Amino acid sequence: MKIAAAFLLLITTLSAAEPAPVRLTAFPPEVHAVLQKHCFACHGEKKQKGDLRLDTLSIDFIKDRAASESWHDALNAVAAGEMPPEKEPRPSDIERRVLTGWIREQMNAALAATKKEGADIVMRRLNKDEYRFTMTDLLGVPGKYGERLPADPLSKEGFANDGATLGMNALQMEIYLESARTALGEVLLDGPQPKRTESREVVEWDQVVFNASGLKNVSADRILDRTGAFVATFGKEAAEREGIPEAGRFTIRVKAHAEFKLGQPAPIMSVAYGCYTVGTVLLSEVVGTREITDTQPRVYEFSGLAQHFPFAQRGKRQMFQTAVVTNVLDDAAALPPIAKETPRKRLYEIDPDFPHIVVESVQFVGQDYPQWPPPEHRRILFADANEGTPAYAREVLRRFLTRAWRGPVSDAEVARYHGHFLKLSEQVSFVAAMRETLVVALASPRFLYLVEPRLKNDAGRALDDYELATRLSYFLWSSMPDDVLIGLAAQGALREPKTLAAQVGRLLADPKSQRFVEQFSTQWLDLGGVHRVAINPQYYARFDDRLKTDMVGETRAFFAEILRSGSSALQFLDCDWTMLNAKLAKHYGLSGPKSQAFERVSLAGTKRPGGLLGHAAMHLANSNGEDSHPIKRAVWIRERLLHDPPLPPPPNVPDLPAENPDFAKLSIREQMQIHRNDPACADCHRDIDAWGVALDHFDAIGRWRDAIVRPNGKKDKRGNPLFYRLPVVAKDSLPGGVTLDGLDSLKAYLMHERKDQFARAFVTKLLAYALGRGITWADEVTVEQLTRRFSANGYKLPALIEDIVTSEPFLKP
Amino acid sequence: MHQNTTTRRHFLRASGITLALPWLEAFAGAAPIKAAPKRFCSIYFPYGVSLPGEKHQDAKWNWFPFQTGRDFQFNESLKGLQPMRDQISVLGGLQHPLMVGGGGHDSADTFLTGAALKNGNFKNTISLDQVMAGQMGGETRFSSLVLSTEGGVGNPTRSNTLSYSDDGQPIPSLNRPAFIFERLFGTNRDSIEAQRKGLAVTGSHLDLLLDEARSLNAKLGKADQEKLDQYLTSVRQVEQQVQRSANWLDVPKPQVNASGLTLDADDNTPKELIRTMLDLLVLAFQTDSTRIATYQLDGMSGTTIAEKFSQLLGFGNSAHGLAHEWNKPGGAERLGKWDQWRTENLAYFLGKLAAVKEGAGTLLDNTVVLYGSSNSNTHNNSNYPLILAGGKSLGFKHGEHRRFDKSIPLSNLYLTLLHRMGIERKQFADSNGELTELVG
Repeated sequence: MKIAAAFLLLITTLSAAEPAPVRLTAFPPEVHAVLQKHCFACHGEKKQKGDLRLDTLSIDFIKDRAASESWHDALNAVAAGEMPPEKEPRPSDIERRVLTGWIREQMNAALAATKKEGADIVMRRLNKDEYRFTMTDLLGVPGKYGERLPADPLSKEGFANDGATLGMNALQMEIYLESARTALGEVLLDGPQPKRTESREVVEWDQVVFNASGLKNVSADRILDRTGAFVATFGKEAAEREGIPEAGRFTIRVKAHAEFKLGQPAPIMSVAYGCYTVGTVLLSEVVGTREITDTQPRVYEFSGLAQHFPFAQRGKRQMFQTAVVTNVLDDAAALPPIAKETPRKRLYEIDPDFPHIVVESVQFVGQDYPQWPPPEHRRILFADANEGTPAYAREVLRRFLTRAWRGPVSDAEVARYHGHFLKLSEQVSFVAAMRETLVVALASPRFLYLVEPRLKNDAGRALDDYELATRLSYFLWSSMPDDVLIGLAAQGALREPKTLAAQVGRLLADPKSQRFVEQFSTQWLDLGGVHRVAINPQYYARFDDRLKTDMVGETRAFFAEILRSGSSALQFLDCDWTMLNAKLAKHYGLSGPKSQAFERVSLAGTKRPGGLLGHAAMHLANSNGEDSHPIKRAVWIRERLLHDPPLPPPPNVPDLPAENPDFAKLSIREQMQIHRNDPACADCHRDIDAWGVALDHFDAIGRWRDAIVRPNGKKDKRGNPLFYRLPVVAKDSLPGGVTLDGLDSLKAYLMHERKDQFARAFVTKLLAYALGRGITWADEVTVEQLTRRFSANGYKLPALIEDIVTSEPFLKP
Repeated sequence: MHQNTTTRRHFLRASGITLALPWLEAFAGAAPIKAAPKRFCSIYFPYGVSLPGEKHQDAKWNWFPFQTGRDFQFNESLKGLQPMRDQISVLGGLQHPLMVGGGGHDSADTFLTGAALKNGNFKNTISLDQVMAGQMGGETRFSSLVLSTEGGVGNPTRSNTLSYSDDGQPIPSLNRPAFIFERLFGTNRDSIEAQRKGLAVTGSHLDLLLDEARSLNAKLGKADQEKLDQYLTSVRQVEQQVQRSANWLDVPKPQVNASGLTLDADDNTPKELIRTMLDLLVLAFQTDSTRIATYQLDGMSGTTIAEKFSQLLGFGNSAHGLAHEWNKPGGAERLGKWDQWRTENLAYFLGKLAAVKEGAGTLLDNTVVLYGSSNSNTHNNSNYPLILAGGKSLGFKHGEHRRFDKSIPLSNLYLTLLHRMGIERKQFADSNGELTELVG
């Protein structure tokens, strides 16, 4: 370990505010010689290609994680022969071994030291979604908890649950307190049960007038087809108005039946509630939706808390509360012909062949509590003979803290909260004091963070069962463990491999695992990208922005299908099916699905390619809103599918030789060719461009094209823009002479030459998500083992998830 | 194709179009202003501007005027400022030297701090506005107002805020107009006594949380302790806010009517969103709710929601894309038009400030506005395009295009700003002097 001494010299130079004086002696002379000869010219004082400078890069592999990652990248690049680049003199095998051997030695030494000191563990704050899900599961009432929290930063790999990235600040604290107070105020109800009220049963839709921004599609009937709406207003009469409270649980009861033919999807009822001002607008929010399959009349109930819905201002005579019942089944077909149109409303002809709902009546029920106090109140303030006593309060607190903090709490902790409660209850009622006390519990670090305390002296300890239960449920449910998991933890039985495997199966089978599907697929594949691109209507006049949501839906449903069918994850790269709903099928020029629900559709014999690279969400998010963007698409493939992102662009992107006036007329591929002819650009771009060029048959909105169509800036006599066409060329070469021509050849290349890299990349991404931290070179062994088993198990996701959950990094803090 | 229910948006917009200033229905309870307050606001935009040379066929789209001194001519991009030419200075040649050579996407974080966020250093230093807020913030209900399009803090070198505390921690920005309005002007229906009790209860909660966090701290390793420190700091800051709220309880919040504001504007309606945020800034100053504000129009992560604003507004490419292509044929004009649009927002803001009378002058006379970017053009951390506006009563004189020598760090301007705000300081960041020529 002669290197260790050299290490110490460097540690003092780590403060990075000022470039540290260079201590070249820190490198062993033979290593320094190799670096000097082959590396420093581009990664030294004069140039820092790829933003990398090696001569001053810290060699403290233990403390400077970023530097150690850079050395690790350097190791891989040198070992793979990617560095020095082709045109530079080749290092001899001995030189190569000197350098890679030295880096490996440093890594191993650091790894050994890290095992002892435990550098990686970081307390992880619940992110915004996890907070919402946790509050929902803890309180048993779905809500928009923490809606006002700022968006969480994403980790370098794109994950929203990375402990190191998730910070805390005063604004967040303030919102946590406020959110807990509001939530508990809605759950822990004080006083006698408010009086239940029932409105009259509205049997005919109300004749109301809507303005241009309001309800346009009103059929004068009780039939809810494509466009019909049944509008019921309540509280026009003063007496009825009394029964329509501003707050508290209400129910809207709709008596209706469905009419549809065999083979057609059932209609879907949506009920919105809000307020309506005569002559102006209707302001409402959806209470709920449900499929109506019964052809016999039945009453369907939709409940909510009135304070979450728009409410007519007091004293305004012309404002009423309103329920709007519609059929939201969407088969993507065109609207029926207009029967009657005035500036204020538009009536469509009834479409008798469309699955429809016939409404018989709508009724509003105020203060609708089948039990008092309601069950969610009783879940916390449980029924007990000693209710209201200090001993009861202590037990309430013990139970709540145990659930909220996801594990046992000490007597001292309970006593601390009990003391606080007693002080508060001197001034306010028992329930109010409890509400406030629990607010504190929900702002505690024990609630807001996943804490796995670890002192130096218990290095290498295993997670306890409660911590394990918590990791597991945040991995697969994005939320707190349920009673079953906590029960197993209490018995100390959870870490038993068979039990753990069975629990993975149970968690995945639970509807809450849909959160995992959405969170992981969205973050892994950056599906949010569709919302960062605006589609230019000059290019795509008929594009409806709402289709972006369906595009994201396709990719999420595709992920869910691969997970739930337990079939090969290589289908992410290639398969002959996808998940479509009616709207997206229409967009792709396919048919099959008849509603907004996603279903598996075979692509065999169509031009539409299977696999993620055929998904419109990927094409759109990596376009510029007008045309494909081959570089963005290439970066996406390398980052998301191969976990090998290209280096960031240099600080000063050199100018292109752009004086060519026809530049804009060149295809993007030709523009990039010019880019690549510049040696300064070529280094990086030769391994970027081809990946994206291969997808050039897909336009900015993910449709197949044979030609690139662009406006030429001129207009025809009627003022419509004129276009010119360029042929699509989807052919380009990767370094090493591989030529890709179109998506099929790219997919074949990925399946044959990059399959292992994809598998390793996927394992790395899923492991990062499961652990809530970045994956470093110190995890290499785990990643390799998991990848080998992943491949041996036919690339099945449930088996991989099981392997991750039983892997060492998952079981240790 | 159902669109049967109207959203809140339609309602708010429908009722909000016709009303404009004055929004203030009453100023009940506000203390009479003795000396006119001094205010500071900084507005940031990313990726720099179009800079075709004087001989270029699109030369008129160069953001900077080609002449310096008083007799300069605006090129197209800044034309919107012509009506208030005497109230602004165009500053060229300035930059934060420590960020020159740093990552081209990395300099937004340091626009107001001057720190060196490079070579693996992710620790920022206090921002100009927070130095001011630390000294003057006690005079107003809010010590500062920190806004952005993205909201929150983002990541180091890809932050969503211009403001940093004295220990270099990012201060989260607010981005939703309705939320901002409510914070500034929302009223509580409870009696003052009840509110005071509520604040006392919250205060006691925070004590309990601090106790608890401290006892947890003893069980943690070093990395966790750092996380918990952040938590503790946050709790302490909320404690200070609670104290502050208690001190301000007896002063009623100004009554401001929201009906002229498009509070539901969001990232799909960029113009409405930006203008509403600017309206809120004017209101915050006008009501003396705060005197210090920052507003990051967009950051430089390349993955912000504001990237698409230029696309939505018909400028043909994302903000980043336009900036990248400025030196391609037609690109100087395309980026220039986007620059021009952004300038019009500044003009709108300055116009609103100038329209509010305050004492013998206007709100703009008592407010100094720093508008600019930390790139001259894409990825280039030098020669920041900057506009300094307003602040006549603070001694600033305008109406010139000034170019500075490379040896002068931007922090020299910041030190002058601090002094004119009445804050004694020998240095700010890497300053090595002052820009006294801006003061007359």
